[in-house]
Amino acid sequence: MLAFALTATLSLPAPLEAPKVLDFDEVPRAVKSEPAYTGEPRYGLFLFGEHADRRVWAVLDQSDPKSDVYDVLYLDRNANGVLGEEGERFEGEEIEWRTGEARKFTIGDLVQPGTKRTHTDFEITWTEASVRFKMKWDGEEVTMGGYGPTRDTYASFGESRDDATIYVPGYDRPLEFEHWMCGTLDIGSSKSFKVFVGARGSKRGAFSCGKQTLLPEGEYVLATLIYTDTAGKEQRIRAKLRERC
Amino acid sequence: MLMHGPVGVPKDAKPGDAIMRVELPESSKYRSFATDLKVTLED
Repeated sequence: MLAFALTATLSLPAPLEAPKVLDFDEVPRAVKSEPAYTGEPRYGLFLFGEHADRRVWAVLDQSDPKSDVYDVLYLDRNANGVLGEEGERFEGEEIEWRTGEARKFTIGDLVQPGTKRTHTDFEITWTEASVRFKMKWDGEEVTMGGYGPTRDTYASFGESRDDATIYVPGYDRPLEFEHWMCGTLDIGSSKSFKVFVGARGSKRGAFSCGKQTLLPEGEYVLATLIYTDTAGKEQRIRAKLRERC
Repeated sequence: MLMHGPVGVPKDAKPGDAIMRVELPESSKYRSFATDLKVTLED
C-alpha cells in the first residue's frame, strides 16, 4: 500500500505555482550584449508568460544623434539577451501624428519566447510624447498599450535599463485595471467610472489593454470605493461596472 | 477593453484622497489581481 501511494505521489505532476502580482523592481535588467548605439538609447521591456518571466528588450536609437527623432529600434525578439542580431534591427517609418514627429516600427510576427505561439502585426510607435505598441494576440484580437489614466500620462521608454518602461502585453496573467479620466469624483453625486482591463506596467502610462471581447457579456468588474467619512471612519461602497465601451 | 458603470460618492464623504479597489468578483470565470487606484474626492 505504501509503495502504491509513493508511486502515485511520484507520478503526479508538480503543482503549478500561481502567478503573483509583479514587483517590477525585481525584474532582472541584465543583457548579454548591446549594439553600439548612434544616439542616446531609450529602453523598453516586454514581459511574456503567466509568470512574466520571458523578457524581450526593445531599445530605441537615433540614426542622427543631432536629431531629436528616434528612428531605429532594436528588438530582442528571441529573448536571448543579445540585442541587434540579424532580424532584430528595424527602421522607423515616418508617420503623421497630431503632436509632432512620429515613427512606426513594423515588426510583424513575434513568436512568444518559450512557446510556439505567434502574435502578429506587432508594431511599436515612437512619438515625442510617448511610445505605443499593439499586436494581435495569438493572431486574433488586438492588445495594445501603453495607456495611462489621461492621454498626457502615456509613458515613453526609459533612459537606461534600470529605468526601462516595462509592459506586460496580452492576457496570460490575472487581469489588472487602470482608470480612464476618472481620477476625481464629486462628493454627493454619481459618475460613470471607467477602467481599462489588462495588465499594469512598471510606470504610469505603461498599462497594456486587453482585447475588446476579453470579458464576455455577463462578466462584470467590481469597484469598491474606500473612503473616510466626515466622522473620520473608513467606509466602503461597492459598484458593478457592467458596461463596455 | 474598457468597462464602466455608475459609482456614487456619498454626501458624508470627506474630501481628499480615497482608493478605488477594482477586481473581478469571486463568481467570475476569469482571474484578477485586486488593483488599488488612487482617486480624489471633491466637494
